[in-house]
Amino acid sequence: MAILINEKTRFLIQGITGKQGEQACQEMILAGSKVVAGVTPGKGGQEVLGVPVYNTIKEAQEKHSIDCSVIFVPPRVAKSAIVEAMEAGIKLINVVTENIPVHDMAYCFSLAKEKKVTIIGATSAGVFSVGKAKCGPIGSGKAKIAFTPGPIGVISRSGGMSCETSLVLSQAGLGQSTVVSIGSDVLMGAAFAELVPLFEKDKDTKGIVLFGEIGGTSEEDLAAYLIKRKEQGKPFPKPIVAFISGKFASNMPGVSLGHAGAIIEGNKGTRENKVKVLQEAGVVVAEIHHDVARLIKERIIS
Amino acid sequence: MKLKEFEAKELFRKVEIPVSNGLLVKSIDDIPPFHDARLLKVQTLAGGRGKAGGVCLVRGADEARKLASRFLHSVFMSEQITELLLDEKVEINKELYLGILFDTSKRLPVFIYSEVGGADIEELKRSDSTKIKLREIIYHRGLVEDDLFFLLKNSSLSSKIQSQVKDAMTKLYTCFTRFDCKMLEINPLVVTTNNKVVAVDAVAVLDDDARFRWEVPFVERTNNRPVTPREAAAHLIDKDDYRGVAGKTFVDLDGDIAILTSGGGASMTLLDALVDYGGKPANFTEYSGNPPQEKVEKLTRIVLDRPHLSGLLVAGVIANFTNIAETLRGVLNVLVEQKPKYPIVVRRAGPHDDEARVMLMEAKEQYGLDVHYYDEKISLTQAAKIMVDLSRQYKERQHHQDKEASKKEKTKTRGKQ
Repeated sequence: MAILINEKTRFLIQGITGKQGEQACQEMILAGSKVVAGVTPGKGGQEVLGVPVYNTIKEAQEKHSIDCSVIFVPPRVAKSAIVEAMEAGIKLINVVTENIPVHDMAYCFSLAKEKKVTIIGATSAGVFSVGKAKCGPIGSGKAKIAFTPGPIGVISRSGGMSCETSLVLSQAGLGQSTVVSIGSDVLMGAAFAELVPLFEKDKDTKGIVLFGEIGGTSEEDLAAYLIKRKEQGKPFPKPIVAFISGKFASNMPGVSLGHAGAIIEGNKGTRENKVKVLQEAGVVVAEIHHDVARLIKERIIS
Repeated sequence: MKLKEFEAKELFRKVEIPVSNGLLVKSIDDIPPFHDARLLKVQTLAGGRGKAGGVCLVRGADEARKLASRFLHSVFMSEQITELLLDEKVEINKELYLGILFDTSKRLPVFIYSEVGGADIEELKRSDSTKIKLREIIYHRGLVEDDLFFLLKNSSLSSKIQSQVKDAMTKLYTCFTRFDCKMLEINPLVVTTNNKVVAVDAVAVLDDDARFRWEVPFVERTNNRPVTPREAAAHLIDKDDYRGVAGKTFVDLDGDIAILTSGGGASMTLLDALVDYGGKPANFTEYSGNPPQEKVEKLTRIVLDRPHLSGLLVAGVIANFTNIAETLRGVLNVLVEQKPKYPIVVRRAGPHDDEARVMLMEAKEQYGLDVHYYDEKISLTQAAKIMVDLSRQYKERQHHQDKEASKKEKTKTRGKQ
């Protein structure tokens, strides 16, 4: 099993005729994904790698029943692309596009809540249910070698580190069930607190490894969720190991190291606070990144 | 991007929020003759300038000019001051607080309102949070009458003033959405002795990702300290060439290990490990996407342009599409030219990495470079440890050699005597 996507998921790619969209389409098919349709306004009737292209999602939806849309369109038109997918009734949307204005995403998240749609991203490198299916550029080209099927669920705020985390796990003999790159924008879609319950239900996932960063509140939100579970007498049953990057950057307030979200605002979002609340909630925090493999291995075997 | 007070007030004026009458002062010649009491306010990006003495009461132009000449072009709260605001002195009856920002947990904008405004709003939040009202705004619905009703419920203000506050709230939300703000704050929003509501200070943070639709083209700024020449040079690399990203982020640091990383999350993880193992980075920078070797070469030249380096670490996660040989050729071109003695640790994997390995090993042989190449078999953070160990050994050798050299020098001089 896996979470979010599997070999049966029917994918739509919005922006399939662009370079990035086409490249990802090819890699998705190679990974076993069922890509049933693509959409690029004005390019309906074409085909990309045998996948039919439509002008609108509505047209695509009439011919195919779509489970998940992957967004590759430029940032300026991302909002309308996401809204179109939601209005066509698609319930899972993976936004790969980077640099989308925060107000556009705020609009999408507020509408998604009303329509009960799950958004992963923006700035997501994708979702990879190893050995079954994937969406987005995650695990493309040579990076495939990092991923092996197995019992660990991975959630990462960094696209690159979702690969590196899977690599150190694979090298320790631990494969992955599903790897989710959730992005690290100011406003993020489904994050740690929303995704760990899915891994809890997944019988094949024995443990979870997280890659967090300074900035934002997604680590604090997870800690609050886990503590609530404890108080309800239903503690989260699977081991969780996390690495939180940004120890170094914490000493340089106000300097953004490339990731939009990794800017410290006040005390909230500091690494110190994240580590503290996660540990209180029962999460094991690694000090050096490659240690996550050893720490999770000790806990799933015992 | 954070704006200064006078810039934020420019946005307020566009949506017709009443603001105090101010005059922008960039040189003392901008100060007109006047005799009444006004406020001279230093324009900083950081908050807390009032407590640091950056807001001064001045009586008349002479006093204002004297003070202005002291502030202008000086460093205040580690910022170079280039503007002052000569502001009307508003007669205060009551100070209110208005703010809007995004709640990252709820993924919605939150409106903040308090009838106890002023400098200690954060303190108030800790001591008596009941005096601060928070209201989440359903974004796709926008600000509605219900939201305003909630915020002003149990207000101690007269209905006439409440309606002015309501008006300011509506306009502030318009400002928030129309100008793509990540954060807006009016502190204080003053109720004057004449029962007028006026914004006396203003804070705005704009979303850089929405720059393409900003109505006011504010000048770019990334840091509130002056940019170093190396930083400025690195930022220029992308300007001429849109293939890949190189040097967009470049921060000068005070260590001795030069850094070239790829990818945001990986860079932070790498630096964390490097520092944990006892190493000190000389800079932070990254290249990503698929930049041509010329761009990587330019960036390498800047990264290595520093005395007393004890190592170079080139590292990134397994690349999906970056041509490893092409990008590393850019690094190598500079190394071959400069032939440094310090250790060079490369941890890169991806398309054409076999070719890259051969290329680096040949250069090692031919030019005597101390290059250590690793692919994905060594983790990113292990590579950081290898770098720190090699750098330490290098420094010990250098230290030893220096000692030997000075000994020899001494014997030589003695011999001459």
